[in-house]
Amino acid sequence: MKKDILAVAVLLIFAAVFIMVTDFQSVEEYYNAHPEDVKNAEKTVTISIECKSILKDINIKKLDESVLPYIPNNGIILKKTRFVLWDNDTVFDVLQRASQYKKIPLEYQGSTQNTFGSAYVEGINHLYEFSCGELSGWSYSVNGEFPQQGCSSYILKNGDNVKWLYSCDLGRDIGNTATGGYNEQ
Amino acid sequence: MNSKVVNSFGTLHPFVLLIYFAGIIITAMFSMNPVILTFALLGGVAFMVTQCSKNEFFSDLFFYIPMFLLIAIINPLFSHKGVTPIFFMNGNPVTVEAILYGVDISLMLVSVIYWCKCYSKIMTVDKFLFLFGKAAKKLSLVLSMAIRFIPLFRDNFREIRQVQMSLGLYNKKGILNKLSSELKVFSALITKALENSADTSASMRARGYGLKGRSHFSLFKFRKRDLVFTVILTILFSVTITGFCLGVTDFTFYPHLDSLRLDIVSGVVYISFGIIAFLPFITEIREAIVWKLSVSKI
Amino acid sequence: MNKKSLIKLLILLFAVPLTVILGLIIFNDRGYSFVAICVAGFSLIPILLTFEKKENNTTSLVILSVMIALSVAGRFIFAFVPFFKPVTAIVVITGMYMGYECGFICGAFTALISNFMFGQGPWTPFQMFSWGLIGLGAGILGKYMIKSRLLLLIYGIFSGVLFSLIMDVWSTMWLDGTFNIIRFYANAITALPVTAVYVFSNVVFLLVLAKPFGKKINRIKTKYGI
Repeated sequence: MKKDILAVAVLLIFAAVFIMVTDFQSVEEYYNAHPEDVKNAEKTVTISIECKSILKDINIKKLDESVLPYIPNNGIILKKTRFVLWDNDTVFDVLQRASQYKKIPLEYQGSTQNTFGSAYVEGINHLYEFSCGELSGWSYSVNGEFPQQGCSSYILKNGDNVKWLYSCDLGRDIGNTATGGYNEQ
Repeated sequence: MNSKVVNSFGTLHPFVLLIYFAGIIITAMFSMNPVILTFALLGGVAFMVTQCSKNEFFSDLFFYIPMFLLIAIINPLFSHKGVTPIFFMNGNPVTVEAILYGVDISLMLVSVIYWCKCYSKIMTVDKFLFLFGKAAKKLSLVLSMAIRFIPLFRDNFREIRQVQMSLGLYNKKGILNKLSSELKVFSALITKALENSADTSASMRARGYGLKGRSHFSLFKFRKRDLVFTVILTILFSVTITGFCLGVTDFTFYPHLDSLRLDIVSGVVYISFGIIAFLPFITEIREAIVWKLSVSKI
Repeated sequence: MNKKSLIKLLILLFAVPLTVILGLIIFNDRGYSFVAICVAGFSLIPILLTFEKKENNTTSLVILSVMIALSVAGRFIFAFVPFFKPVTAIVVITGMYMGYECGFICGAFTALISNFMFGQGPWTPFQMFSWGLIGLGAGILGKYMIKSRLLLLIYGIFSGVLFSLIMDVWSTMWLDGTFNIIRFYANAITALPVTAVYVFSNVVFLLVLAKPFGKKINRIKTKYGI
């Protein structure tokens, strides 16, 4: 009996700490954020999210069936939109705000939870790494170049143009030369 | 239902028992289909009811129900996939799909555990050794000796402990002292065991162990009943596995919940697995009914 | 090699990849855990075969049974302290003094037999594999460990960590079907206190039991000639 009571007590303590440490929001709260007014802002950036590479014939076959309803017909999940840029905003911060404002589902691993030391974007709009074959995944470009840093390490400047692109071929089909491809766009 | 009076499933030939348990545990372990897993869980629990006493069963339940819930709740904390968020936690959604996936995993874990418990009750060590005896003579000898020694050593341990207690060993309180006393007794046990082993081996050699020409004693006969069971199981398992291969039982949880395929083909697959899962339970019930009827006629 | 053993070997060589392929076809995403179980199970077989073939004399067989029985009984006796098991210590000692095959068999079958009473489960092949591996390593390093107590203790710590690691990998794989690194970290971290107690128990038992065991086994060896 004693052991059981002890175990329950430990569990309760863990639960209490957990609840205090985590930030809970209801669905409405999370998606209720409104974008700030772009017109009066000092600094802005643009961001777009695309998965056009999936629409190619060879890739459509590799696509996980269950994800199909979430792929827009033109492959554009978020068209190029301007957002206010705050000081020290990283690519990841902008992506997260954009997905909150536009109600696009985003799943990521926080920077403390992985070995890279940077936030890792697992999936956008239910499209995940490997959803379209073993060579598929998300990468981002800033002003046409693909930085080799984690998205929460790259700090943006005024006027930067961020593109989140889904590749079905390790980056080759979206022009990510760092992973061994050529610029097709 | 006291398992000592009615134990019908366990009297099958060990080979049939082995393929049954291996088959059902493997199928449950590697299927994500909620229907299949529910059948597996219910069949396992039902069979467990016939095999153990009320107390044992309920104390198990008190452990496994919380465990079931715990695993179901933990999954949404790690996996944020799914289209229907309920609330957000540190920016990541807790979705209905993740919770249901957690329930599915719990189903699988608890049903596998219950079937393993049934396996432990039914597949006693002698049956196990019988199966592997021919293939590994030395090994089965070592194992049967080890098994014979285990209760012997436990008794020896108690003896030594009692003598030491009367000599004043366990006097001081506290867990550290208890530990060190147990260690001393254990050490004495080891000495006694090793010394005796030399005598045992000498007597074995004197009785001719290891010489060529020794025959092997076989306790279990393969009867007609075993053949019937084997045929039934082969048919049912083939149907189920074909269903798996054809993708009839595929079920995905993310991003949205799949709809269960409910037509004749899938119905056949689900029903055959259902029969497999409840087969031991049905066997026991049937035997119990026949027994009660015969007893009432006396 | 005569025909019979050649056929057995061929069956074994084909059985492994065949089971793996079958598993991956039938059990799509959970294939990894199936493969893991099969690998753990099949790896046991070559060593068991070697044990059968080798000429063991009766006394060492009996001693091996005694060791297995002692580690199983030990698991029962010390069950009042959770995770405090003399099993690893006895397996290591068996490996040290009786060779790597005996060490392996002691480890693997302590897992199997004690699980009959503690509860079988899909973790059984992995426990058999880990403890067998620990016995195997102890056998190979035996000579050095007899001389150096420090090495023995280091091995005790190492085997405790290894055992926990393998069981963590297994539970991660089983829960998810594939290897999810976050869950692995979570499992490993929650298992840290268990690992700590386990390593502590290994060290304690090794310290207490190693020398006396050694003396007794050597005495029996010389007295009865192994």
